Amino acid sequence: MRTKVLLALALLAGCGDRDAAWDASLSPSTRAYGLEGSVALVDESAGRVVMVSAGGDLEAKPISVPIEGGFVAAAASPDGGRFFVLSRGDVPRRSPSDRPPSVRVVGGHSGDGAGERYVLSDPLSSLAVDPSGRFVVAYPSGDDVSFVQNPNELIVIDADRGSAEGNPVPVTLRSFGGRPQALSFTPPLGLPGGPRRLLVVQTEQDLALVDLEAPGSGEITVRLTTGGAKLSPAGVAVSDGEAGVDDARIAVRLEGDPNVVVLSFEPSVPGESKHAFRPVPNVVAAGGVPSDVAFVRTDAGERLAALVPSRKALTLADTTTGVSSEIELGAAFDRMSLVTDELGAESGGSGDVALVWSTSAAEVALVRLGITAGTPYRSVERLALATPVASVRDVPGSNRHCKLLASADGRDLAVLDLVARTASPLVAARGGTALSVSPDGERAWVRAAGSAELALVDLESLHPRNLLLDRPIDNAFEIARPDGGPVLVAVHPYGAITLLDAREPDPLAARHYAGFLLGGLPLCACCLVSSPPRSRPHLPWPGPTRPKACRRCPVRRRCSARLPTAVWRRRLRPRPWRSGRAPRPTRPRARAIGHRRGSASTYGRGCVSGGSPARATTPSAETTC
Amino acid sequence: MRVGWLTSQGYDPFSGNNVLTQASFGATYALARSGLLSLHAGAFYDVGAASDSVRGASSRLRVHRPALGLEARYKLRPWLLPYARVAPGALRLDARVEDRGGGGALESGQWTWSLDAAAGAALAFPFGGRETSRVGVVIFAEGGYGLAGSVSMAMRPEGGGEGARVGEVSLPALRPSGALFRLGGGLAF
Repeated sequence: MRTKVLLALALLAGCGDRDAAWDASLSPSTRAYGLEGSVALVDESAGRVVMVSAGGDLEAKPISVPIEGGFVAAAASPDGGRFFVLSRGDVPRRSPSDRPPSVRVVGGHSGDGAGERYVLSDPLSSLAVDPSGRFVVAYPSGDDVSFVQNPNELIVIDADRGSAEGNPVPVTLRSFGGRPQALSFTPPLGLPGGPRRLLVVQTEQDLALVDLEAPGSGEITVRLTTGGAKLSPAGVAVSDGEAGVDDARIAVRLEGDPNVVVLSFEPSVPGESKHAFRPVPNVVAAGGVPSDVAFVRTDAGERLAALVPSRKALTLADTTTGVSSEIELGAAFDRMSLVTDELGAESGGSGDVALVWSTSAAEVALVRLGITAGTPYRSVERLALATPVASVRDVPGSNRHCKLLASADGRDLAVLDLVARTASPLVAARGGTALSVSPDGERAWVRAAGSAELALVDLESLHPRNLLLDRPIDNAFEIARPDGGPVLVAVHPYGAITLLDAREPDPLAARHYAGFLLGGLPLCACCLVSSPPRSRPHLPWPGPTRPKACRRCPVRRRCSARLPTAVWRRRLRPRPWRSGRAPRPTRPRARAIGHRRGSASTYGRGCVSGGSPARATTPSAETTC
Repeated sequence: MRVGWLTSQGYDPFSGNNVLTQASFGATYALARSGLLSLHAGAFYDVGAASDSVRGASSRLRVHRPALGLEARYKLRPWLLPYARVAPGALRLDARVEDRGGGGALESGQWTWSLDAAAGAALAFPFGGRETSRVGVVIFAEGGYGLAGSVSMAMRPEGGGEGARVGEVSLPALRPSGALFRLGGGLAF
């Protein structure tokens, strides 16, 4: 009787819990990443990433992608085609429904769905992304909280392949006292045994090479320190050499050392190694401590170019013979970028053209390397600037012959025209500006931290157009609309966003969404499709927002967290087919996969599913409902 | 006082529980009598609010429910009047969520239909203790179910964004249906 009374009182008091998402406070600053056709807003406290794309009338179209457990790190591929989210999972895992750490790979358009999920055995804290977006490497850092961790273990994920046996692949680097400091992905290199892509891992004192085509075959460690002073790698440069010849090289610049280690590759001795190649180190003297190195084409063949600020020179070294020559630059340039492709026919000859700049001297120079031999004094064209250059940004598309230069304080900007040899200044009224370039290269956007001011610079006419939005701008990204036409998405504090037509930005025509991250909650288990249509063309794609299956979703009206686990299990269990009947046709089966494999996340108590489609249809599917 | 039990997901941003408490006003008039049975017409008005915080921002939901109803009473005892009532009406939902980024608020105000079906009992206490007295005090308690249409909670900045184009932020749709309990008192004459 007493229990009944208490129960009645509890009902009267209203003991129904609401979803935890409503109690997750919004962060003043939102992490945002610009992708090809969407902007990813990391809503860390609500356990999701909101992928925002733009409709025809500057309408924001969001899709929520769950983060399994705590958010750790995220990165976008440079082409904006993929977005990677590293999550910690539920730590410690106390029940089968607790989610393991994972990396989720989401497509660059919001219609790409929740993407593929790759489960990790232990939580890691850093991500390195391949420039082509195919590979991603998770690795530990000093922030990791695992009881025991292997700081030299890398988890290599091939995002072109689904989550399956052999993907991800753990690779442990042989350590001679170091741990990974920087990771670089090479383009395909002509190596003995065929073209391959390598992951170059710099530790404090060694270099490790991982074959990305076969990461399971282990790494090759190149010891740079063999007693005496410790040599730390400070940067790498890669060359594929001549076309059709297996003469790829990797140059390793060393911290505070005038020598550059050059690795060439030879066939390995059969039976001695799992790899078909072995690196052969060679040392090339740069004549001083180089601040930047690159492989360049000169009229005399390929050379290793090393910028030596102490000598105000560019050293060109033949990596085969070790013979080097020096080009006097006249200023202590410390950074270098090859601009031969950007110049096109204007590069004028058989060699490369290098753009060099300095973080201490207010000038840049173009160094023509094709006419170096015999006429070094004619190969350098210097151009004075107002202030030293802290960063150089490439411009794609029709204005690729331009570079955007920015000073350290962000007040002085310049558009460098490599063809006309002009550096047109742009002066900002305040410091701390951030510069971004539109994907088509027609525009540049300038904004200042904490300011509502925004400027569009037409890179053809260099005409700046100043805009004032209603709120301070934390981030701004230009994305493509499905119906054509670029859109600028400005991200404001507390998750508000503004969408502007990027070609004709007008604050009066812009569409503003206040409290944008209040929408789309709580996450519904069935409102997401975990398989992007591009990587899984055999699956029917039900549409950019909600799959049809969602109409039948048992949790559409109430959060799945309210459903007991047994109910979930019953509802998500594949239906057995009666014996003697024809197998189920492909299309309905695929739709069922899409429904059941919906990446579910209901803040710790919902259903999480993943795995390949084949696995998802079997009882052994990784479905922890 | 009317206490509603709203299980709709759309109510969660405005309350940490499922209870919506409203002040309830009403008047009935006897249309017809037949023996111990009488039929009454009535007008009712419920008003109430719920407030909480949503993602760190204060939120508030005001609910107005004007309704007309028909009530059948049975005089079981001179002092005990069981009754049943249906009351179709309109429902006005005014939602407001503070906009932490801009200092203003997001608002939504929409109408939908409602239909209450309830049954209860009234205790009548005539003035002076005489059964023949036509004036008295009534206290009643009733329970039932309130049906209502679903409302999409599309929130827009207050004032419509002052000329600028604004986008809507959709909170979960709210269907304010659910069990209801009403307790009150009044005058009968």
